Amino acid sequence: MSKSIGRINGKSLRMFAIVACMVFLYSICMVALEVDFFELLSAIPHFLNFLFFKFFPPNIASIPLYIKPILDTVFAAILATIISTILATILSFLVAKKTTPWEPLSFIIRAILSLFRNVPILVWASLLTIIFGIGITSGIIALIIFGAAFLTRVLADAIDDVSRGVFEAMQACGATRMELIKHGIIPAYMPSFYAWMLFMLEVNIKASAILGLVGAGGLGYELKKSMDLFQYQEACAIIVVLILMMLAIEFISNRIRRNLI
Amino acid sequence: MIGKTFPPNIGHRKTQRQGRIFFGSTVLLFFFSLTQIDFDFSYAIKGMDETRKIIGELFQPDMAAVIPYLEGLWQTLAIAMLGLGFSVILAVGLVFFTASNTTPNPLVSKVIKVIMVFIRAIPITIWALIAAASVGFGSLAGLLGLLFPTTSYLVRILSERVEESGGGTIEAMNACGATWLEMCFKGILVELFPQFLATIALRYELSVSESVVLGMVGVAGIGYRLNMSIGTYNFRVASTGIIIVYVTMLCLEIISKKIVTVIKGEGK
Repeated sequence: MSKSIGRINGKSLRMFAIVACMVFLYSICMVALEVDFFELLSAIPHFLNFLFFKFFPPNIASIPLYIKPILDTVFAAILATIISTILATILSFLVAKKTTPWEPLSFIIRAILSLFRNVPILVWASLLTIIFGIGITSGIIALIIFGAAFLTRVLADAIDDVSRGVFEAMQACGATRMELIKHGIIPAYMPSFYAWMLFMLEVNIKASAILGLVGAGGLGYELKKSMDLFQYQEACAIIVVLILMMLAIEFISNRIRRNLI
Repeated sequence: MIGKTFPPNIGHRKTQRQGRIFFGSTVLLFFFSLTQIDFDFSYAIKGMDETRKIIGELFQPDMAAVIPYLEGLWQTLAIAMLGLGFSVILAVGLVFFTASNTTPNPLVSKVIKVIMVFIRAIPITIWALIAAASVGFGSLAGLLGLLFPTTSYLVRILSERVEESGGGTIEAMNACGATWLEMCFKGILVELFPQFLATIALRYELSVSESVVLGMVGVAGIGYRLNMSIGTYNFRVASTGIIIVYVTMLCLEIISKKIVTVIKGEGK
């Protein structure tokens, strides 16, 4: 299988080829963006300098001001996660190959959801702020749309992963479709369900925080305001709050995961 | 019918209880959150006619806008590629200090891991905004913004791989008397190369998605143009952009899946 040219065998030749391709693609990108390699190198220390001298220290005094936006962000994410989970659970049973009542329906739903899933959520949020106005409402709807699309796909995969054996055995005993779902599939896929729901919560909190950057409310909106006004230390304070919130959520989510799964 | 055993029909009593607590608290949390958020649908209701017009326009893509969008797409793909590339270089440099079984000093490993956690806690859009504040908006800011979070992510995943599968190679190389550098680059890197490549290839899809998002906050590329069209209420043009982004991401998703199967097949 591996040809040998002296000590260079086929496998390392292949790796070399891959690396060479990458270098080639690389140079194209450099040309396309007209960014000098040295410009980039010199920009990094400049960036770090900016980060440490103009950004720090955070303006701690103004942190209490941001409590309402944080709560907005978190509650929006929670609401969106719950609503999108409900929607996704229903849709995932329509989409999964094992339980779909009608094949073409599964395909159509998957195609539509793929649109909502693959286009970055900020695009939808931006559109929704035009329809629903600036504020947390647009953010929640954007999160629900993206969340439902993502969760449906993932839950449908989880349903399909449930062992064939269980399925066939139940069908052989004469179980109706509802019984199949209730007794066969649901108990088996609950661990995945919990895992994905918690994952979605984390993703939604992160997304909720940045949706504000296009006007959809929460911390992101405050951040955009302070950055636009060149108030970098305010921005730093907001970012600190953001980091603390994310770490807290990760911690809580891990605890819940350990107990449930 | 569903009422008798809720949650789902798992006999184990403790699991049932946990399930009930979970769903019960979820319901409570739901109603509580509802009271905390001020929903405001008045804007949407007032603007019903506008909304109908907007949605109508969204379904009629404007073909003339395809060329500028493709230029933007090229920029976005390039930013993602460059950003990922530089991150890979940095990550490979850092990973052998981070993985607990190859690090010359365990303290260094822990310190790096903690720094990485903090870097990852800051969403990438914020990194890009900070970068833009320091070097101005443009491709450079996009590159800088991508650099830190991507490197952090790569270091985490790659060091986990090294920690999981590196053991045998490390012992073998040490037994032969290899120096630390030789062990890292001729031993582990060579052995784990397929896995590393798979991780990197998969990451590209995410990097492009991030690049588009960075464009939307002002960096450069197709996201930027898309944001401009939405901001100027030019929805027919915007819908062309959305379609182009969708098709690109879809292709990347399919390619990523193929790459995973190919590399996993060869690696093992």
